[in-house]
Amino acid sequence: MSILKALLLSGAVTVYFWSLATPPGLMAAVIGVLSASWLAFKLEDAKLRMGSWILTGVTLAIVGQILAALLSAWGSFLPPWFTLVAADALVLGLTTFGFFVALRLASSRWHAVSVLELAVVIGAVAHAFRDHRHMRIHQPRFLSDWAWSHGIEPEPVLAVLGVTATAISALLLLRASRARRLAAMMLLFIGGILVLLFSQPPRVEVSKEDELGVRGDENDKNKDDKDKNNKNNNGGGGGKPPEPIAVAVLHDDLPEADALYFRQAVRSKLVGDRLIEDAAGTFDTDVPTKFPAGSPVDVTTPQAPAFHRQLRTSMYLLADHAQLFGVGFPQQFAPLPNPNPRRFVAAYDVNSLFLLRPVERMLGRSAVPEDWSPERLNHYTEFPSDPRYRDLSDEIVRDVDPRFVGDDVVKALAIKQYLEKKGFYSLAEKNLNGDDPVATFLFGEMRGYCVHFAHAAVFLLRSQGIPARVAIGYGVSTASRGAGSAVLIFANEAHAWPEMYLEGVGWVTFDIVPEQSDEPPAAHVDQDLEAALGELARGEPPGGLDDKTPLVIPWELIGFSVLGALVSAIVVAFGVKAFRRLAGANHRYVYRAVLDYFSDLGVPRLPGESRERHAERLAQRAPSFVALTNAHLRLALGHDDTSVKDSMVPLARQARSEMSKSTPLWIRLGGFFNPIGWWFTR
Amino acid sequence: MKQRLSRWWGFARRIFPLRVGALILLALALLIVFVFSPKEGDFLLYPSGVVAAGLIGVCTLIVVLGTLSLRRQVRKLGVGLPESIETLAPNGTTFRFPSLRRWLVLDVTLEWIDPAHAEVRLEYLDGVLSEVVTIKERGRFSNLTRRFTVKDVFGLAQLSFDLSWECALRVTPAAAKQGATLAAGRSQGDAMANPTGRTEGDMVEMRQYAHGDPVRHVLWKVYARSRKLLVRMPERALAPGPVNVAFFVAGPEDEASAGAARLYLEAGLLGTDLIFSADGSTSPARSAGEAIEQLVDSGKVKANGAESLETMAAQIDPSRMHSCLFFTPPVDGPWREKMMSFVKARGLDATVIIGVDEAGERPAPKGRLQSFLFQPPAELDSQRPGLAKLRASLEAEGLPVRVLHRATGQLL
Repeated sequence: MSILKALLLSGAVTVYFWSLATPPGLMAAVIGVLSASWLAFKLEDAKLRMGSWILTGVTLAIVGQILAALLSAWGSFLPPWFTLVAADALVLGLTTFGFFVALRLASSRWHAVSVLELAVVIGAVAHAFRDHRHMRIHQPRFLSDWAWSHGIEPEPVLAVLGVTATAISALLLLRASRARRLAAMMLLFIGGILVLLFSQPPRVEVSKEDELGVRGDENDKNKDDKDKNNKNNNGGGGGKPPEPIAVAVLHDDLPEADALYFRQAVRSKLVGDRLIEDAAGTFDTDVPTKFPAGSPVDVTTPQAPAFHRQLRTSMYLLADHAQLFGVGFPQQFAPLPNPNPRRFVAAYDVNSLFLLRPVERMLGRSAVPEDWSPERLNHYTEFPSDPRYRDLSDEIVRDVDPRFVGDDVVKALAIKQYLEKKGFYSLAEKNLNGDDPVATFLFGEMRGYCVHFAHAAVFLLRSQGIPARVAIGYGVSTASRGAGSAVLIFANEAHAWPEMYLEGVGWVTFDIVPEQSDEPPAAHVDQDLEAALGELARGEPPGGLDDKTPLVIPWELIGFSVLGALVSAIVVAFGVKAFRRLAGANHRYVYRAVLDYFSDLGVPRLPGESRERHAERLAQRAPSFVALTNAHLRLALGHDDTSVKDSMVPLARQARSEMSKSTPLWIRLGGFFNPIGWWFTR
Repeated sequence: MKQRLSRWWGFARRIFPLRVGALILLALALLIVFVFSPKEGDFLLYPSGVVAAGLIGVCTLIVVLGTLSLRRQVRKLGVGLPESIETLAPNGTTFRFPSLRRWLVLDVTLEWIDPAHAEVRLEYLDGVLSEVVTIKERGRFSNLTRRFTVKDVFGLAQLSFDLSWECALRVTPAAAKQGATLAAGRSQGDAMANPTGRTEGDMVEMRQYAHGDPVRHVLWKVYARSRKLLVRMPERALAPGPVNVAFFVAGPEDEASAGAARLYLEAGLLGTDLIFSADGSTSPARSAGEAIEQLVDSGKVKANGAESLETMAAQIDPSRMHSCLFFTPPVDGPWREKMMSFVKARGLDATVIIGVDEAGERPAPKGRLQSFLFQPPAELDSQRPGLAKLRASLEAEGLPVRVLHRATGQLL
């Protein structure tokens, strides 16, 4: 068992350092683990000062680091490759030796520490396959390519790997090596697989911060998280990659646009100094609030069809969302069958309207429709009582070309231009937690992120009498995505943007893009992942298998073959059993037949037990067995006596009968149907 | 208060099935399933966490069911003990109970709570476990409490329950071995050696070599001729006088001394006309059998060593109190003062015999590094500073002291 544990731990170390260390470093690490395990095995019964050993382990690890650093600093006279290899080997060899000596010794002293060994093994395996995290189902390449080329999804393969790793590493918890313990481990493995069959894989959680990160003005934590997400996404240098939360499969050509806006909710009702959603449902009826269960849900949209084109998309959600969303201005949501329930949370079709013209080409249009009721007008144009909004917007629109004075679109563009020029986009801004964060932003340093810009724009527009609201959802840059028909939406693309109303057109997306920003440019979307998820959403096998014939595993054939082999083995075993029982009257066969019978009943001769001791052990249950054994031994040792030979069969019959009487019926029945009892006869 | 807390803590540990390792594993598993995997989307760790949590759950369930099943079956069983057991020897009892091996992942252990100081080993045969017990302290017990512990092979869950039986168990101390040096010493105790030989008796008799015999007593010429390893043995005294009166002083760790006393009684080293008294008895014993029963009973009065010396002396003919043997514990205590005042008051010619169980070597770590990494070995009985001090103080009072190693019969 110690050897097995040592191999297991060295395997874990190999897996962990495979992609991180040079081959000599890897070898040193494995040697470190094996020698640590050997030392721990030798010292298993010794009375150790555990504190000293742990201290020694830590010291060795530190010494390894120091030696490697010294070698790197002063080894300039050595060839660089040698320095690299020697430093790697020193660090890994000493560190693993020190760490595992302490771990193995502590584990042999305190059983609870074995759990840490188990965690080390599972952690190492998980680390080796960590690339698949955050929905990167095409990673690691070797695994996903193999899985898809065999018509299997990578997740079940990973799950089986996880169960296998757990079942095998459970060896580290076992206290002794016995066949039944290994059998217990096998049961654990099978149980694990069964659990997986009936359990759901983990879903990516879209937290409040992610889903509505646009509310970052409400507390610092939200903003920080969003900040972290965005930086990791855009920085492109390691860290946590953003989570894909949905795939939009386009059924029409993508319209020309810098960004695709997937609106999820809008905020239009002014309460105090901020906007909230209209919970009464009187306004903003173009935003769906319920999921299309069974039948399509039509949305009352004020968008004028003349200015829009139809766009049909299918949305496949990878994470739970409180509200539906779709690109552009959705008209209808229709439920879709989920092509892969283990991967997608929900699927639905969206028929949207997509504005064809940019807002710059709509000059001269009035913002307020004549047919709007005073309540509606008031709802969409109400802004905080702070007079600075009106003063500022007046100041902004004062400078517009005199030819366009009074033009709502020009006013809006002037406000947009002002915010884009003066504003500074920064997710790091933390000073906007006052009572009126929008005013603090707008009349302060103008450093903030989408939420602040959107609210500021809406308040300025409203102060000029232009109906406006804040939309929240996801803004996906078309520049960073691939050329395929699938659009992958990430959690960190949560966005807020203003919408203004134009008579005869409807709501117009009016995003503010500040010229100044301290954020790095957005990283390109992993096109392989986008394509793979798109193909899965369409129910196609990912990986482009057009030129290959997918391997079809003949499960039925395999099942029947296994069953056939099993049945054949049982038949053969029963044949052997019958043959041995009816072999003949030779004293050896007669005695063996009785031993076979006893084995069936679970009382075989034990390893190391003499025939006499065996007979003595069973003397109470089958007294004739002692006489039978003695007779058999006499004949086997050369005593040629006919009377003894003749007594064998009656004695055997009597011994069987006595044993049968002293054995419960269910054990006898079990013995009768046991095909391999003879296997245990010694 | 501390004792009560300790008792409650012990009870809680017995009825709470999860071990520390299981709690750590469960915490890790839950962290993986509910926090890490959903956050990171790890499809490999998630099943690991589910399986680990499931393993803990299944093990706990099986342990609980196995414990209930075992308890139900064991309650019907009798105590299965013989009337008399000897200390230090493994004694197979007739107590047999189901092994639970059919549950695949279960192990059962058994220990004795009352009487304590017993090591229980279980032997598996034909689906049942047989009890083999090694008791370390003598005594007479009317109640036996066994603690059954059911645990899984992964060490994650464990439950214990106690069951008590009424019994009449007599545990006698294991007698010390009769060694050559003891034989030599015995001759010194005789009243009159052969006048033609040496004072301690001549080496005239032969017997088979036994472990512990001095090599210089081996008869090498006989060995060369016959290939039989024989040793010389001191002659028996010409006219052995009864050693007369022996007292057993009970006290802490006195089992080996009790074993030595039993040896003297059974081997006739106290003569046939013996008078023996052990602490805790009301009247002196006049036969070996009676004396051994007193030895057994003295296990209860270890805290009151040498209390009954005066009472006993009052019942013994003063003319017999010419020379006495005192079997005393190897650990000093109030008994020494009482014994010394008793001896001095009567001007007895007393010899003290102290039994010890451990006298061999235990390798100690050598050098600073080894001392840093390894614990020093536990002290041997024979090497205890307390014993040397006790011996010195008794000898300073004029009492000859013999330290007898029970396992070999060697005088140290």
